[in-house]
Amino acid sequence: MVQAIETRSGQLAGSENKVAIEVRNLHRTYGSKKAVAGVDFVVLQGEIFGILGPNGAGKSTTLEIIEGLRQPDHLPGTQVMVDGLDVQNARQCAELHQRIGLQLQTSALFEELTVAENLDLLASLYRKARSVKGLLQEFNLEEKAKARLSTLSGGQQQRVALAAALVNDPTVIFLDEPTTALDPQARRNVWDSLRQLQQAGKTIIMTTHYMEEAEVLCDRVAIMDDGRIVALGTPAQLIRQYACEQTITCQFDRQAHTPEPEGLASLAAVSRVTPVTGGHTLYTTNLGISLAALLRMVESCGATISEITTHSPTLEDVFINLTGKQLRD
Amino acid sequence: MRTFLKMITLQFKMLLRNKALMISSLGLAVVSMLIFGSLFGNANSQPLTVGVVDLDKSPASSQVIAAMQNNEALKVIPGEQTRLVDELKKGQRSAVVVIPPGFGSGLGQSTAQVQLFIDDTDLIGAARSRGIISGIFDAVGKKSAGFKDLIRLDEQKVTVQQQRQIDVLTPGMLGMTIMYANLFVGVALIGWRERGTLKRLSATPLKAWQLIGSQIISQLVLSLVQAGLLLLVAMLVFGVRVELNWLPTLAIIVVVGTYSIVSLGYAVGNFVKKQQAAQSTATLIALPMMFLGGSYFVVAPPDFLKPLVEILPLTHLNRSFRQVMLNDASLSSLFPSLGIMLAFGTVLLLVSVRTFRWSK
Repeated sequence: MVQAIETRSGQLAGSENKVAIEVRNLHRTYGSKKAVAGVDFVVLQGEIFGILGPNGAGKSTTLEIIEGLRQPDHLPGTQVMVDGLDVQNARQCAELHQRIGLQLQTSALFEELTVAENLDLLASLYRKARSVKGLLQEFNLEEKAKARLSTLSGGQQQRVALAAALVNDPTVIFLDEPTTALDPQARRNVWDSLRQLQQAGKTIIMTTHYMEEAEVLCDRVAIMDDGRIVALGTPAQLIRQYACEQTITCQFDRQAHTPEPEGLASLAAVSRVTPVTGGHTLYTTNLGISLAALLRMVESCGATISEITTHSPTLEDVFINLTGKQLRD
Repeated sequence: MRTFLKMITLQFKMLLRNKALMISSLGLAVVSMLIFGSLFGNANSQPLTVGVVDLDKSPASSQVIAAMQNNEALKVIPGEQTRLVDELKKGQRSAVVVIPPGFGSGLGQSTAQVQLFIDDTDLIGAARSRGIISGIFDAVGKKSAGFKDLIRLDEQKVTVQQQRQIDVLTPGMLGMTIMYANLFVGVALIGWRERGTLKRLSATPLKAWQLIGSQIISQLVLSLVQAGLLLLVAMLVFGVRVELNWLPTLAIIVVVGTYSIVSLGYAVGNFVKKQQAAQSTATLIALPMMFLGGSYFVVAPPDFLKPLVEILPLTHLNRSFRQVMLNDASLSSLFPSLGIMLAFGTVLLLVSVRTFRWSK
């Protein structure tokens, strides 16, 4: 697991890992709209790197520039290097396309062709390619090899798309929402596949709409909003930094005495209190201390708790705090 | 090269799997030929006009001619051999019967012989003539000598040069098939763009020219195969004359015509964003072009439409096919039409290549 911490200035600390992707001063303007307004980051070899952000944040444009599908604005100091190749150089970009694998949101293959034909076609495009048979086996698609792509279920199509991304045995893999529209079991299967790829030394850069997915899968995540990276770090770092408050939501039996909000706010480690139906939510910097103090207070004033829940922050809270938006808007 | 060949093979597979495309191209042409062929090809209810040449002038020959005149299915025209066979060749007669000298005397010795000239390009008409006439001779033989099969019919096949409806229709159907098979390339391309296939492919070592080139070549192969099948149907079912030495010229017309229509198809694909819209646009172009271009019948457009008609690639495609199949035209006489199709295709293809986009 890579524990390197990267600051916004791009300095790497405490890592001997090689750089797989380096993005410096990336801008992209469409007409008068800035889709990407100055993005810098580095992805290390063997990392799973996640890019999160609301729709229109510039995730896709950023990915497409790194994939060599779009040109960035030509500004001094703009640099996009992938696997040691300069994306802005046409010849190096052509070489890059030999080495990367990608999967888009839609199946993005030929629906009129069978699974095997699609993989076969892609395999024929590359200098070196993995055996189609082996890929079919690995992704449990042997039975569907002769089925037209249009006849497959969403989960099966996603597996084909993932297999297609690996046809050329790429060193860097780009995945755009790889588990969207999958059931929980299928999603976990994809996660397993991605972890295996990571163990095989591949670098994976992905976007996702699922915070849970980013938390369990990504070594580091970048949160984008309005064309910029607003936060970057391991999921744990981001939660500590941007969503440190835990909450206790407590509802009281109305027949008995109810504690005053002022009293609740004065409890140890509690920073503020907001009312909810039949009770209050306490924001705390130390869940254990506040919870113990709350229970002592309830007992001493003769109140009765009807329901109590605690909530620890997740990436979702980080995301909402940073962008003010729900991820799945 | 390996990539390119694989692309061509798979593109061809996709074309063959596109049922709607197969039906609208080859299917429509075959059905049209069947309908028009049976409407105008042979007038079955009309009596067959049969020329009779009596060189025997015996009671037996008069008896045969009387029997033929009494048959309601026949209209007998007596006359002189060369003129009647000439008329048969022009398609004015269905058959000519020649009763040679010595027919009457041969009848008694079972050596009677009659010459029957029939049009071998009109299979149904020929079969009807043969059936009715041999029936009459059987009846006459039985009556005079008590035996059937007494009179031997010496059948002479004559190739009719007359332009029948089906002969004019076939070249037009070739043109229509090529138009429908190729005008929808843009629709396929938009589908790939909408589904992100093109974007995905642009992040692979595939070059745009490999994709477009393989698509054009698979369209060419399809059109050559379809044109071949259509000619075969025309020849075998409708007796349309197809000369072996036409085939190289016809193939060149198919290739040039396909090129011009494919370019038009790409232009449609590049200027329309949605697949549905491209489908309707292509249909909207196809229908008027089919009639203005003279696929079903040669048109004489009013003056204000003439410039348009003269630019349409289908006009020149149909014209070239007709020139070859009806007038035995040489390749060099087709240069004006082929040139216009090439120019039309090249202009549109250049525009399409310049405006080509991998993604939405």
